[in-house]
Order: sequence, then structure tokens, then C-alpha cells
Amino acid sequence: MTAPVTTAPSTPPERGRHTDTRRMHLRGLLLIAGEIVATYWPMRTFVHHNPLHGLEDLPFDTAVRRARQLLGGEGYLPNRVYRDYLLAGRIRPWELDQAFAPLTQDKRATLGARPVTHAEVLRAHLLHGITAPSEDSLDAVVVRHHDRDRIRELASHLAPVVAGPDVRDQMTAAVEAERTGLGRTQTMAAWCDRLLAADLTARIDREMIKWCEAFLDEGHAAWSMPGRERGFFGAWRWLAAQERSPCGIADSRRKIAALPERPDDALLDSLDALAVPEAAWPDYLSRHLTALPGWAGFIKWRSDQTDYEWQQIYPADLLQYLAVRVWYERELVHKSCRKSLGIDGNLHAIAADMSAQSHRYFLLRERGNGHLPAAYATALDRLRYGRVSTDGYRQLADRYAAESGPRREQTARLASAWRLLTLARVLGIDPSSLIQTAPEELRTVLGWLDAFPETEHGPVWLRAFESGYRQALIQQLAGAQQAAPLPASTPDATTSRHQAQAAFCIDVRSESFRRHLEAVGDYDTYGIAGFFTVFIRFRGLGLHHDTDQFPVIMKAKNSVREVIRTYHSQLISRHEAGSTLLHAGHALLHDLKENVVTPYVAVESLGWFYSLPFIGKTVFTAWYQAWAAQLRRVFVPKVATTVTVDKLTRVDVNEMLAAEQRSIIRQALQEQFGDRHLNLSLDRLEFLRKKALEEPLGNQQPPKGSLTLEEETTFVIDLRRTYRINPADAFARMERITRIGFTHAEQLFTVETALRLIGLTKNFARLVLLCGHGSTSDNNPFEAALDCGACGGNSGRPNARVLAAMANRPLVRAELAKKGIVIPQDTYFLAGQHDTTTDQVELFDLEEIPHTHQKDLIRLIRDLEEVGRRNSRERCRRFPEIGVALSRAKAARQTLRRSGDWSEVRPEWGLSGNSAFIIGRRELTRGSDLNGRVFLHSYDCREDQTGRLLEIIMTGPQVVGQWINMEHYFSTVDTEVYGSGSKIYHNVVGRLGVMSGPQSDLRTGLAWQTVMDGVRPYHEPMRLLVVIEAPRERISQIIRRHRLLQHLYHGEWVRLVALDPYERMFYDYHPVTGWAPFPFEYGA
Amino acid sequence: MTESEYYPLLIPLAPLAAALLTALPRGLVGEMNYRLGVLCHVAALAVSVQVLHVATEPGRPAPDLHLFNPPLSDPLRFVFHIDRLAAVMMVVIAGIGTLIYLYSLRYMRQESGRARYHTLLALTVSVLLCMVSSGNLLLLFLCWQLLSWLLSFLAYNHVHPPTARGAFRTFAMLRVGDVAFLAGIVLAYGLYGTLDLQELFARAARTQDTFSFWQGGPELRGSTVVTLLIFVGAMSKSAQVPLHLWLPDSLYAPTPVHALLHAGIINAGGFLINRLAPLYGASPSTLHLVFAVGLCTALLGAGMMLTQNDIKKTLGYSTIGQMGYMIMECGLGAFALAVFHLIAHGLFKATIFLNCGNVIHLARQEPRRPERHDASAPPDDNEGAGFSTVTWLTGFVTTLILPLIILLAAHGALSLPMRDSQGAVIFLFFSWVTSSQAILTLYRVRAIASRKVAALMLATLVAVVLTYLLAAEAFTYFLYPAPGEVGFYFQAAALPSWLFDGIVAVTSFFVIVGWMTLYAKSRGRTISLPGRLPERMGRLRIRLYLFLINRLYLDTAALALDRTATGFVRRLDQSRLFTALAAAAALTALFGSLDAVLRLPPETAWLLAFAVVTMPLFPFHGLYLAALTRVPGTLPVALAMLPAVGWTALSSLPAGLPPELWRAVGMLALISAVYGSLKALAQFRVRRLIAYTGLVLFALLWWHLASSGGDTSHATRYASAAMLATGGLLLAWHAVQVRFGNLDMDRIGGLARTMPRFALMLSLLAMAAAGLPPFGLFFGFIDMTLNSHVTALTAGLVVVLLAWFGASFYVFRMLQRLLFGPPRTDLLYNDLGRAEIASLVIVLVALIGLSIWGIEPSVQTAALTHGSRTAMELESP
Repeated sequence: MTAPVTTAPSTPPERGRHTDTRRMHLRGLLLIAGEIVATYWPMRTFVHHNPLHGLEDLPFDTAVRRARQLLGGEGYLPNRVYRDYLLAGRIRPWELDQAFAPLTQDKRATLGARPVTHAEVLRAHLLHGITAPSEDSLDAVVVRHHDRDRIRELASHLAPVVAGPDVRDQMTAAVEAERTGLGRTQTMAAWCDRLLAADLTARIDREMIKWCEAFLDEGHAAWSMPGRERGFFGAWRWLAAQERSPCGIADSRRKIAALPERPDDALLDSLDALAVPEAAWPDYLSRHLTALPGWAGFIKWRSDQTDYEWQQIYPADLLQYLAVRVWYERELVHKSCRKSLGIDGNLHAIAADMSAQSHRYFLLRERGNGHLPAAYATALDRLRYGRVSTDGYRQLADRYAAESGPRREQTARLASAWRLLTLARVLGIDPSSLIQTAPEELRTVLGWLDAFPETEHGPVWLRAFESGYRQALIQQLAGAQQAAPLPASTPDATTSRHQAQAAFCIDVRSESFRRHLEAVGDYDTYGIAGFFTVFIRFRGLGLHHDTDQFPVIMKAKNSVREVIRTYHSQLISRHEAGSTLLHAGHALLHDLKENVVTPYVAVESLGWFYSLPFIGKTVFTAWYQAWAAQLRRVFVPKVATTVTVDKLTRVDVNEMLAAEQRSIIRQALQEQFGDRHLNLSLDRLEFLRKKALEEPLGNQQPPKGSLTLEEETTFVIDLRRTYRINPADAFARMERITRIGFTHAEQLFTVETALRLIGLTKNFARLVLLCGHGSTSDNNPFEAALDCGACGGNSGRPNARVLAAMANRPLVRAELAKKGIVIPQDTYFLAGQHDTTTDQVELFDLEEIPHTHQKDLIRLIRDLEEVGRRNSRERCRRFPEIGVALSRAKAARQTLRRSGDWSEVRPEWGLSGNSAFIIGRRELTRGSDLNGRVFLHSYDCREDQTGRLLEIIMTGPQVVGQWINMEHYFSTVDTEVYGSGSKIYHNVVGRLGVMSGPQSDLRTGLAWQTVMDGVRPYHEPMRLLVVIEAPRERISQIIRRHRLLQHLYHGEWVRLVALDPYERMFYDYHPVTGWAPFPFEYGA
Repeated sequence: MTESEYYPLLIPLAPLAAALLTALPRGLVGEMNYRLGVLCHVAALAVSVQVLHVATEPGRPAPDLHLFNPPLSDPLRFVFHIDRLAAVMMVVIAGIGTLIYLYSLRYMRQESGRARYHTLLALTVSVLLCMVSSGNLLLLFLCWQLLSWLLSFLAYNHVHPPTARGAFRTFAMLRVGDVAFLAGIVLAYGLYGTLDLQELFARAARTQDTFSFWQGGPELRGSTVVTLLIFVGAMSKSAQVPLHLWLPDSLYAPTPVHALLHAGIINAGGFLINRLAPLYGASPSTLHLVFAVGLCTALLGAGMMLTQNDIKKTLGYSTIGQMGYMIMECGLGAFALAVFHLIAHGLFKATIFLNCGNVIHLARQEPRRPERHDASAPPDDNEGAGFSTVTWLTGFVTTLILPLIILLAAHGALSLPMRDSQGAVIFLFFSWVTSSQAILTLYRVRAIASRKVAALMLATLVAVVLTYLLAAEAFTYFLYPAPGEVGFYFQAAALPSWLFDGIVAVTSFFVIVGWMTLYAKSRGRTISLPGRLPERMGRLRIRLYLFLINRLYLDTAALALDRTATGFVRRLDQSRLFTALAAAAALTALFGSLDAVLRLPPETAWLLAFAVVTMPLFPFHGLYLAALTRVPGTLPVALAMLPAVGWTALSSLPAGLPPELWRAVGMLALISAVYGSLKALAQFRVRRLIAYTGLVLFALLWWHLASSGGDTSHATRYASAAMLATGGLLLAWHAVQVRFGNLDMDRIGGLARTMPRFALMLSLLAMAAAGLPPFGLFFGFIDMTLNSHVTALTAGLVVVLLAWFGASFYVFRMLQRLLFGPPRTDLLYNDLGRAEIASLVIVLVALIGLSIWGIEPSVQTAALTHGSRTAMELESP
């Protein structure tokens, strides 16, 4: 790189006036730079995602490596964990041999008297990790080694072949590497940190976290950041120009005030000032984004949510984020370079200085990497604090080179000798014979070890780890499918019907539940993604917000509300009054706490009452929960509800709204003129209503009222303003209401898709249970992660209720019959929800069930209770502190306790353990115990000749499954970088996510407690194994059509196995060679 | 007093037993030890309830329980004073401790280092219980310091660098308080000659010593200075601005630690003032300062709380505000109310902290929506209810009158002395604003839609406030049953009337303006202010926001200070001029007493020379330094005992040295303390750091000898402890050195995780070397300082205390560098072997032994001679 000698000015003359082309170019590059950062959804709806989602177009290994460079996360388990798996028999030796076979070469060497093969050495390396301890502690290690004399002897034996690094060569190479890497492999701030010990990145991070916390806050702070409507950059520019710079930038107010108004211009200015070459921008910006990947990921998510209210009002995107961040960097780097080096803080100036003073930078680099001994570091400091003289540095560097060269050479030899001895011990070779081996031979063996460093062992171990599980699962399936050969066509209506049919979510937690359900009675179960093909935005009773009840990769246009069903008016009014009271109480407490003056007296007088929950929740957990729930019931009695499935006509809506408005007007009249004799007739109210809404009154005579004209006018104005009876509001409400519900055609389509998708088109039982799932846990910021991923991290209850309601519509059934799906008269669809924490199933809308089904229902309820207990028992065994099979009653108590305990960090294992995704008929898996690790999606290829349904499954649920799998995978292999660390430090920030401690990046992955069982992983991190029961050609076609699927299968993010339904043969899918028969290892 | 009356001592002992149980190796008892730990806590709670029950009996004098009964000469006596205050505090602490222990059992499951966590937790509870029941100021201080230490270790996640930094800041900030507290103790002992609380109060009431910092300076009463210094200690523990900085940094700890911290440890300040109520009650000027500090903290703390965006910081700053209020209550003379407050707040804050994961649950139930800034957007369809002026006005008037009536009725009816004091008006003010806010909220959320609901809530509110007032009054008379005592404190705290009127006027103005704004806002209107006022107000608001969100810019200042100081110290270390200058200063000091040196008998001169070389004293410390840093192998450990030679030589001086020579030695000692501390701060090599630590420790010894005229009787314990501590540290470092070579401090890290046994040993040794209890060095130092005949806050004492403070700084930093942070992956770790552990344990046992056996009556030698007196007098100016 040729650097201009003149130092570039820190602010270019044309600042703030960039061309549109340049801006567009920047934005384009920013898109590329942002790929590395994974989108992060707020925790209200925890979305399991692949932290490397943006790199999915790369092969898995490559993506992992790239992420390690940028994010610093490990992509595989530590080698010692894999070794433990090997010792425990989870990985079998031949699987390991197979996994590293591609790396072996057909080479031999002789160690002592014994010939060793390349493979042998690699295996020894894998099994024992033959890496020498670090240079600076090696001497001490050797001195304490029991065989120290032999190591020294061997070291001198190796002298001719092992040369230490030539420090002088290193010097030039190192400085050259620094120069070319600057701005590419590290940010300028990181460079200053390392070489100048400047601590800039931490300071920038601190400022960025402060602003991100304040700007992105979704209603936590009582006094929120002012000026947020200006956008992230604008608000920062406005506020930061009024604060004293907390990170020590001189004159920061003037500098910030002088920044261009556009964030892209500001970023371009900063990049120009740092003189980062355009070619390096994507890398450079990536590195800035990965400094705080959590916050950046959340901003990335927000910038995509155009209809998200917070984003609409307070816009933020990565460009604005970077404009702020890089500005801090530019100023701090400049300051630091000026202070420590006496040059400008830009790339040209630094590169030029590095060419001119290579000795100095070499020494600085050595110190930054921790190689420089203390004596030299002291001397370096002295030079630095004294007058800058090039000669001083040169002399010091020369002295260092002269002294450290021989020392390092000796160390390198000792390290080699240490490794060889270890290898000999491992291979059972007499160590004394090594000295007789020719040094060149030893060098060869060392070369093999060097070529396969421990950092490269991960992929090999992973392959071995996965192949064992794959063998076991496919063999288990092969055993089961022998017994259930596929008839050429679906059986026609048989005489006997199942007791009931039940469709569960594909979730791995349904697997065991389904298994137990099938065991307690004659039940037929199906698996379908938990949103039941119903895409809705849902608003629960008494809530003021909608939840998105569908996978986050999709969109919905229908919305559904939960409304009160009962006509028991007293109950309703008690319910409403109770809700108000509760709401008022909460608001009161909140307001008293969030104030400068009031918290004190409030705490003094109310604080004592907190001893109730404090003691209750800790000591009498179950009782307290029950008591609190009961108390709540007393205040707010439970009312029966229903969901609004059908669409309302416009006329209906109009009439409904009018009635509502009239009632408000009546109330308002009474409130304001209560003591007068009022005319509250329909006409009179209607007149006032129309007047408020500015609707034409016609030539109708106004009915007589007892108000004067002025009073009436003020009242109407009041109606419009405070009672919100005005045209705009009425229109908005109308719009919202008409979006509610499904048309008849939509209902028909939804039900048909759902039934065909799972192959439930014949032999309907009297009861069909559609069972979504949700969870209950206390004090758990990750509670949404336990809910239904297919419902966007919400509970699946509304979807099940909506689908059941649709399927029970006679009109829908009539149309379905025309399409070949005949649902008998006496089949009733029933919605339910499986609480995965307590294993209880709640059934909904039982008011509508016909009397004829009473007995079936009771039997179902009893069976479900029993299944819940059995499932609890199975799950309890997996909790490490229990570990044994409890009695069913005890297990039920245990799960109930866990769901309500505020100190429980692991209310359930959730989706941990997930490892495979099976798309096929239940016959394939019925009766097999899959340990709650497998997603099961029902699919009958005979129902789907075109492959349309399979395509839906592969691009929808399968992708959701892959996201879940990858979230668990990466959270396990690196709990700190990809996971979110331990729960005990978590701190909920801005009502949207968690940090660790008072200030940190947003933690995006799963908690340590969710995937780890102490020091061992509970979740075995493996890539998802997908088994599809369908003709190979059909699968291939679908893969060919979807780039996404190609990335997944060809990049080995997912392993695919097909079961040919007619040949009944398993085929493995290879990225390059295509299908090949699955290699069974019978009895191996 | 019978044996059976000693049962309250079980209360602190039970959690101590729990701590020891949890520290047992896993294999021995399995998970059982945690259950036993719970039992121990429950036992402590049960006994403390019984103690409270007994203490409630009217007219019963509070017993003093003597654990050791050494002669009166020793200021540290294990006396426990179980009065009502102690009993109440014990019930609270044991209760909260038990609950948190239980909570942690599940919460901390499977965490690595869980045993360490539970041990520290139980230990903290035990120390807290000991602190609240101690009847001796020094015993209280001992616990006070242990808390500083424990707190910095409860940060728990030492692999995480910011946590370690936070722990360091916590420790440093708390030590500031510790040093001031100790200065207060030294003064108190100098003034009153005892540290037994009851005796101290009695003597303080009798003596009216005046005191001035410099000659001709303003005269202060002795008790005022003592209470002021001790109040600085209270400020640091109770996170008063500006010593609050450690609290937000401590939030890196696991959640239950916060619960304990915010419900237990942080209340220490309020407790301390109550414990020393007779002293504080007699120092009105201190109380005024206490009030001012408390008020500032309350307002700033709450202000910062409002701008926080995450739950833990919100709670943290809220605690700062609450502690400010508690301290403010003390400043108003309402001592008992502060205790009432700290209990209520403790329960409240602990519950909220333990439940803070539920914020996401709430956010799922009720996601907030941004405030719309443009009117065209569709309004929220659920905010459509009405607003009525009549009802609102009623509310407004009730709000104004209600609290007034309640308060006046309550106080009038009970004929309390509050009416005569200003304190009542200030509480009235707080209550008034609170209830106003309550009613405003009720209207804002349209609870008025149902009058019944509103009435119900108002009634509840009234009932709660009334109960609260009655309870608070009852509590006050429960804690301070002596007639007139409460009134006396209130009188003492009364502010000058002009100041008081000013405060009332200003606050009332703000409240009324605030009310008007809120009223206008709820009517959907804005008040139009004249001229440029609105604009200025807006700008002020922004400034205030930035001031608060940047946490008063104090963190920034602290960071900058830290960076500058580190740079400065390192520069000093590099500069050759520094040593030369220090040597020149030392020689100048010596030059003045050259005559005296020359006149010494040769034998004495030789012995003295021998002493200053082996027991290092700047500028004769070269040999000691070389012996500890240059000699290879384990020999330096033995050489660390070199000062014993000097000590022997010194004790065998045939005749005392002339006073002017002692004066010179005193000067040298101070220079050497400063020099050694600065050098130690800059070291990266462990052995050099230990050597300079030794230099500082012995400099303190020299100072004592100089100021007491060569009286060695009070320093034997200190001298041996100093040698043992340095030797122990060297021994521990040797274990590291044989494993990894002689690496720099920052090239090793994470030994806490990889070598836990070593970590335990090293941290105990560091604790000993930093002069913390329960090791001999601490007791020796106290013994020495109290017997240095200090009756004033002399420059010498300040330097000595600072040097003592400094030791905890660099020793703790060394400890952190070695033990904390992420472990290196390229080192081969293996923990200590049996022999190594045994040798370190011997050192530790000896260090602890020194503290116990050293309590035996120290011979009151004839050293309190004329000579020493003159030395003191010479030094003072």
C-alpha cells in the first residue's frame, strides 16, 4: 500500500456535501456490512433465530469461521467436551475415524522403532490435544516436568530442524501486516487499543450503549429521552451537542453541532476523516456493527418493521447508528494518535508513520500482544514519556531482537520436544527411542500436528457427533416403518373410528405428549405447525394491543379479538370494575414510585406490605400462587369468552358503533347535567351523535332538549374532544373493526389447507382436538421462548380456537365436502392448549359442544389429565436435580411448583434437545420413544401429488425448525457470545430485552440455564436432521425451486434424509452428488 | 449475669456455622449442607425473634454481653449490646437473610462457585448481625470493614472484567468511608479514652472538648468532629452523593446479592447514626450536614432513577434516593423513623429485585405505546372516557387538605412533640405531595368512572397513611422510650429559622407550579408562559436530563481521575528524578538531627543503623528490596522475616533515642510511606509490589515508634503480622511462579476459576496484608494507632491513614489481576498441592492467632514518657 506522506486533514473541505451517488453507494455497502448481524426480535415475542442467519449463503464451516473473526464466537464445543463424549460412548471411535478420514494422507513416519501413520497421529491429536503450553510459561512447565532432562535432550536433538522465528524478519513482516490490516481486519479504535493501550473501544461502546438504551427504550424510563422523533442520529446530534462529552472529546459540543444533518453525510465525513479506503468499507462497517451485535441487531430489526409504532415515531436504522458510532471513533482516534504518536488520527498518517518508524511499532505491537518482557516494556515507556527519538526505538528493538531471538528459538525447540514426548506417551512409544529418530522424521510428524491445530478439530468432532445420532434415529425409524408399509392409496372409510383425533404443534415437546396420549387410549395424533395455518393478529380480552400469531417470516391481514361471551351481566360488571380497580392500583403504585418526591412516603407506608409476597413466594410458593390467583379471581371474576371468527358487514358495524356512541353520549349528559330533567330519547341522542360526527342531519327537526343552545354547542365540542366522538375517530374504529374476522372463502381455504397438510381427510373421529401450546413461568424474562415459536413466541390458543370454530361451521363443511373432504355431522372440532410447563391441557369454548358429545368430552378430559401426569413424570426425570422417576402425582406437583416459583431459573427444558425434524405419516414414528427431541410434522405424500403442500412445509415449518435448532446450537457452543450467559445477571432493559449487569450489549441468545446442565451441555448441539417421507424427485424439485433450501442443504446447515414411501428405502442427500442410499451400520 | 443470658450470641453464630458448612467440600455432605444452612438461618431468626420479644418488655435495661473480658486498657472488646434497636435490626437481617438464602438455593443452582456464593452470603449475614449487636465502636468498625470486603467479593462473576472493575470500585469507595471512620475512632479514643459505646456516650456527655484543625482555626466540638468523620463512613456504605458511585457498578452481581445489599448492607449508615444517637444528638452542626447530604441524595438519586432505561439501574438509583431520604430523616432528628424507613424499604426493594425478571411479563401483558406527537394520528380507542371539573376540583381540594388534617389530627391527638419541630413539617410536605400524586393518578386513569372504586381507593389510601403514621409514631417510642429523648433529638436538628422558611417557601412554590402544570395537562391545555421563559425552561429541562442520564458526570470524572492518576503514578515510577527528590527530602529531614546522630553512643548508632537497613526505612530500604526481589527460589520468603532482626535490635537499644532523632525518623517514616505507596501502585511485577508493600507497612511501624518515643510494647503484634503477611504473599506467589514462570501480573488471569484453592489462600493473605480484620495486622495497626497519642487530626495521622488505605488499593489490584478476568487458555493449570496448602495455612493461622492472642493485656510500659510527649508536640504543627 502506498501512502501519501502528507497527512490528510481531519475534516475534508467538501464536508457535508456528498453526491447522491456516493450516498447510494454507501447505503448499498451498508446492506452487505449488516449481513453479519443477526436480526433480534424484542423479548416479548422471543424468536428463535440463527445468529448467523446473514451468513447462511456460505457453507456452515466457512460461516462459523467468518463469525469467529467478526463476532469472536466459537462455532463448536470445546474439544474437551467432545473428548468426554467419546469417553462416555456417545461418540464411538469408528465414527470419529470416519469423520477425519477425509483429512488423512497416506503417509508414514517412524518414531523410535515404530512406524506411525498420518491417521494415527491425527487421532492422537484429536484425542489428547497435543498443543504445547504458552511460550512464556514453558520454561516453568519443563522445570516441573518429570521427564525434564529428556525434553531438554530432545530439544537439542531437534536443533537442526526446528528454528525459532527470526525476530528481524518478523519485525518487518509484523509492521507490514499491521499496515495492510489497518482498517480491514480491525477498526482504527481497536488498533489504538492494542498498540497504544488506549481503551477507546470500551469508551465508544459505553456511549453507544447509553444512547441505544435511551433511544430504543419502549416505555421503561419515567423520563424518556427527549427529541426522539428526530430519529436516532438527529436526536443524538441534538442532545449530544448540549452535553459535556463523557468520553473526553474536547470541544465536542461545537463539533457535533457542526455535523451535517443527514446521517449518511456524517458517516461519509467520518470515514473520509479516518481515510478508510472505499474498498474496505463493508469490512470496516461490519466490524463496527459486531462490536455490539445485540443492539445493532435490534436496530436492524426495527428498521425492517415499517408498521411498528415505535419505529414509525422514533425511527432508527443501522446507518444512523453507524454515523454516531464512527463519529466517536474518529474523534477519539484522532485525540489518541495526537497524544501518543503526535500524528493525525487517519489511516494515511498512521501508515506513513508506521513506514517511517517501523521499530517503534514493532515494539508497540509486541507489547500489545503481551510478548514484550517487563524490562523492555519499562524501557519503552521511558522512551514514550521522554522525547520521541527514532534512534532510541531502533536501539531498543535491536537489543530486543538480539536477546529474544535465541530465547525464542530455544522455546520453540522445547515446545516441539514437549509435544513429541506427549505424542510418544499417547501412542505407547518408548520416549527414549525418540532421540534415536532422525530429526527430519520428527520434523515431519511435527508438521502433521501443525497442519491440524486444535482450532480445526471442531468440524471433525461435530461430524462424528452427528453421525452417531443420525444412525440411531434412522435405524429406529427403519425398524418402525417395516411394520407399517404404505398402502398404495389412502384407506377408505373404515368401520371403526378413533376415540378422538388430536393435532398438536410440531414442537419437540409435543412428541412425548402425543406418545403418552396414544398410549392411554385409542387416539390418533397429528403434527402441524402451531399456528394451524391461521395467520391472525389477535387481541385478548381487556388488552390494548395485538399479538402476531404466525411465524415471523410471514404476514397477516386478518385480525381476531377475544370478546366476552357470557350474558351474566352482574359477572361482567364485576369483571370490568375489578379490571379497572386493578389497573388503577397498578398505575397508582407506578406513579408513586416514579417521582422525585413521592417514593419515600409511599415506600415507608406500603413497603411493609411487600413482606407478604416476599415471604409467600419464597417459603410457601405453591400456596401463595394459589392464594394470589384466588384473590385475583375474587376481584376480577373469570368470564367466558369467544373469538370473532366471522367478518361483520359494514351495516352491522355501523349499527354497533352508533349504539356504543349513543350510550357514551347518554352517560356524558348525565355526568355533566345530571341534576336536570333531560330528554334521553333515542332521537335526541341520535341528533347529538350526528351533530358530533358532523353527519348530515337532513331537514329533520331537532328534538327538544333542556339545554340552551350555547350549552349544546359546548357539549358537542366536548363530545368531540374528550369523549372522542368525532368523524376521524369513528372512521378509524370502523376501519379497525372491519379488518376483524375471516370471509367465508378465507375460512374454507384455511380449513382445507390445514387438513390436507396433515393428511387428515378421512375417518374423522367424533372429537378432533386442535391443541396449541403455551407456558407458565414466573420471573422469567425468557418466558416467550417457551411459548409457541410457530405463533411468533405467543401461546397457540387463539389459533386453535379460530381453526376449530371455522371447522365447525356447517357452511364450511358443506363446501369442504364438495372438495372431497367429508366431515361427518357428529364430528366436533375442539380447541385446547397444552401448557408445556405444567402439562395441563385447557379446553376452550366448551359452551358450544353438543350434549351428544358430553361423554366423549369427559373421557378426553380424564385421559388428558392422565397424559399430563405421565408426561410430567417423563420430563421430571430429565431435570438434573431430580434425575429419577417420580411418582405421577409427585411429578405433577413438581411441574406445578416449577411454573410458579420465582426463583426457578429452569421452569422447563423448553425446546432444548431438539435435533431432528420428521415430515411424514405418524405410522413412521408411532410407538417409538424419540425422547422429546424431534419435530414431527404430519404429511401424507398421497394427498399431495403436486408437491405444493410439501413445499409449504419445507419452506415454512422446516425453516422455523432450523432457526430453533441453530439458536440452540449456537447458544450451547458459545453461551457467552451467541447465548445470553447466565440468567442470574440478567437485567431487563427498555422492556425489550436483557443485558448482563447494569451495562452491556443486548443479550440475544438463550440463557445458559436453558441449554446447559451444569458444565455439560444438556442440548446436544447438532445441526438439524430432516427426514422427509416423500419421493426423492419431488423433494429435489422443490429444492431446485428455492434458493433458501439450496443454501440450507448444500451449505450443510441442515442434513437431509428422504424415505422413499414406496421403495421404503432411506436416502441420504449429498450437496454435490445428490441422493445415495443411507449407509446403515448394522451392528457396527 | 448468668450463662443463659448469652443465648443472643447464637444469632450471629448460626449463619457463621452455615457459612462454614457450605464451605465444606462437596463430597463430604453432598447437597445436605445447604439444607443445614437454611436451618442455621431459621435458628438465627427464631432466636432473634425471642430476643426482640424480651427486649420489648418495658423498663428492662439492655444487657451488655461480654465475650472476652480483657483489662480495660484494650480498646477492642467483644461486647454485645442487645437493646431494642439491635433486636429489631437482628430480626430484620436474619429474616431477610433467611429468605434470600432460600431463594438462592434454586436461583443459583449449578452455577460454578455456588458454594463460594452461599458461604459469602451466610458470612455477610453473620457479620451484619454482629455489627448491629456490637456494643463497642471498634467491634462495630471491624464488622463494618468486613462488609466492605465481603461486598466486593459477592460481585461473584470474576471472569467478567467489568464485574471485577465494579468490585474494585466498590471496595475502593467503601474504603474511603472506612478510613474516615477509623480517623473518627482514633479521635474519639484520644478524646474520651474508651470505645465501649455506653461508656463513650457517658463520657462524651460529660466532656466538652473543643478541637480545631489548625491553630487559630475555627473551634469545633470534639463530638462534632468525631461524628462528622464517622458520618463519612456512613455516607460510603449508604451510597450518599458523591460516594454513591459504587452502587451502580455493583449491579453486575447476581440478582439475590442486590436483594441482600439493598435490604441489608446499604442500611448500615442509617443504623450507625441510630446506634450513635447520643453522639449525633449532641452535634447539631453534623446533623445539619447530614440533612443537606441526605436531601441532595434523595433528590438527585430519584432524579437519576427517572432517566434510567433498565430495571436494575432504576432500582439501584431508587435505592440511592431512598437512602438519601433515610439519612435526611436522621438529619432531621427523626432517628427512629430512619430505622422504620430502612425496614420498609428493605422489604420493598428486596421483593422488587428478586422479581425483576417479570418486567418482560408485564411488557407482554401491556406493551407501552409511544406518545404520538402529531395530532392527526388515530387516538387510542380505550382512552375515551370523560373528565369532569367538579370531581376533579373536589379531588384537588381534598388533596390539599386531607394530609394536613390527617397529620395534625394524628399528632395533635397523640400530643407528640412533633408540632414544635420543623421535622414534622418536612414529613408533612412529603406526605402531602405523595397523596396529591395518588389522587391525581386516580383521576388520570379515570378510576372516577366508578365513584365507588375511587372512594374505595381513597379510603384505602387514607387508611394506609394513617396506619403508617401511627405505626411510625409507635415505633419511635418503642426504640427511644426514654422520656424527652425524641424531643431532644428533634430540637438538636432544628435548622436556623430563615433557612427553614426558605426551604419551605421554595418547595411549596415548586409543588404548586407542578400541580398547575399537571392540572393543565390533564385538561389538555398548556400554560402559556410569558416571554422567553418557556424556551429557557425547555433548555433547562434538556440540560437537566443530560445531567441526570450522565449520572451527574461523576462517573466520567471518576474515570478520568483514575486514568490521570494511573498515568501519573506510572510516570513517577519511570522517572529517576522521583527517587532522587524523595531521597533529598529524606536527607534534609535527617540533616536537622545530624547532631543527635553524631552524639549517639556508638553501640546505639550501630544498632540503629542495623535496624533501619533490615526493617526498611527510606532511603535505607535497598537491602530489603533486593532481598525480596532479586533472590531466587523460596529464599525471599525467609528474607521477608528480615525485619525481625531490626526489631530485635531496636528493642535492645540500651537507652532511648533523643526526641529530635525520633522526630527525624518520623519524617522519614512518612516519606517512606508515601514513596512506598506510590511505587507499589505502579508495579506490574508481583515481587516488587510485595516488597514495596513491606516498605509501607514498616514505615507505619516506624511512625508509631517515632510518635510514641520508641515504645515497642504496642507494636510487637504489628511487626510480626507485617512480616508474616509479606512472607505469606511471597510464598503464595512462589507457587504461581513455579507453575508459569515469573510472569507479569497482567499476563496471568482467571486463577479464581482454574486454581480455586490457591485463590482462596491468596485472597485471605491479601486481606491480611491490606490490613483487614480478622488478621493480626489489623489489630496490630489499631493497637498502634490508638496508642500513638493522637488527640488531633495531624498531618502525620492523615498520611498514615492514607498509606493504610493505599495498601488495600494495590494489594487488592494485584489480587484482581491474578485471580479475576478470563483464564488464559494456553497455560497448564494445576491447583496447589498439599504441602503448599499446609504452609500457607500455617501462615494464615499464625496471622489470625496474632489477633486473638494479641488481645492479652499489653504491658503499659513506662514509655509514656516525657520524650514521647515532646515528639508528639513537635510533630503536630
